[in-house]
Amino acid sequence: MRNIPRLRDEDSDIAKLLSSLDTDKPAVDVSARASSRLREATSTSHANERPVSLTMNLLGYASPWIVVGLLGVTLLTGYGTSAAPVATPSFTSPSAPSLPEHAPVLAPPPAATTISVEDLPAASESRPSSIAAKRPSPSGSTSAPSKSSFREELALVEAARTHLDNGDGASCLSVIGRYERQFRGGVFAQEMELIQIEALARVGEPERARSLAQRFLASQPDSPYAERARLVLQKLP
Amino acid sequence: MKDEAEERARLERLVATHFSSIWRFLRRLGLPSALADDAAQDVFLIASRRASEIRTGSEYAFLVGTALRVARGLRRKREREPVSDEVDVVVEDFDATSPEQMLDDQKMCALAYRLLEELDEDLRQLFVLYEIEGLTMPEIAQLTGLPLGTANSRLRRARQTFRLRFERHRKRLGGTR
Repeated sequence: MRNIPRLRDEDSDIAKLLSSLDTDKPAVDVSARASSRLREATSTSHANERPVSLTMNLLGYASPWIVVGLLGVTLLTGYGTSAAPVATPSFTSPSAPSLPEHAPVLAPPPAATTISVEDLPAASESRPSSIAAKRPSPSGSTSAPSKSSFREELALVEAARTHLDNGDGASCLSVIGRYERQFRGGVFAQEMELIQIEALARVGEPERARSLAQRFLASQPDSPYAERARLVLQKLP
Repeated sequence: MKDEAEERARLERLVATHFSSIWRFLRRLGLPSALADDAAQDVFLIASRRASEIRTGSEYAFLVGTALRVARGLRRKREREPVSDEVDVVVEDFDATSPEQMLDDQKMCALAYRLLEELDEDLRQLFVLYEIEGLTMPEIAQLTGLPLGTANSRLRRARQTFRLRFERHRKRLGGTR
């Protein structure tokens, strides 16, 4: 059967219209949360707990992450499949130095990254995975972080992102400082590092933003956040 | 242990490569962003539980098929709630484009969502899969379980409807640019 020509090939206005949909994208912390949620869920399936489908909570637009956090971890019940057991990720300690300047600087996790992604639509299937499941825990132990510390960590990430979105770079950097003190090399270290780069750019510290972005890219060139870091770098004066 | 590590690494790659695409796909199927956030996670949670069933090279097809089912289920539950009022476009906030350009992009994006929303769900699925996701009709027929002829006929109707409705906006759209 002959292929139907696509509208975008026939009509440039429609092509432009449909391309505009690409500007809509999940917030950075959404994919970060998704990654953590996935890790948590797969870890807990190991522990034979019974989880709940996220969307069951979300239909009412309740804050799903709080609910999920309070419920602990669960198993999806809505889709009639059984979970494949996946090992709980373990964590290693970070060893990277901080920037020697006044604003807090996150230590980049060494060979570890989160499995979260901001946006890599064009990534190929064959892209080598640099994504290791192991992330450093605040305590340096090899067990997964407790749910309460996870919630606290997540709350700081959300606070930092909110300040950044509100254009309050100084408050954002302050939250990042707290994160660094409490969760150095934590689960969201990469996300926070990227937020920090953006915040530095916002508060008029392009050189520090550039330095941090370059270091981020050098140490984690295949990070899911690398593309965004490059974008920020390009925009710096 | 090695298998577990490999499986985990594969899932991580899956999330890294496809999370945003699947999130967008869910949005285009009509889910507001708050729901798309979580529906996308559900898609990947399902994938994690069925990882052994996902053939290498068919990951995206699996995810899209799963997303279709997840979205369908959610939309049924929310059938009476209008989605078009919830066009909440997140446009890149640190971008080289001018504020005017960003505004134009947001308007265009909102219009695109609105036109998609005006399509019946069955037509919209076909339209999104073919016109936006770029799948072929045989792939779409397989994903949706529709006979190829039915899929083709629905796509034609979807395209016709979309184009007609777009014409109403074309002039105004041109005026903003």
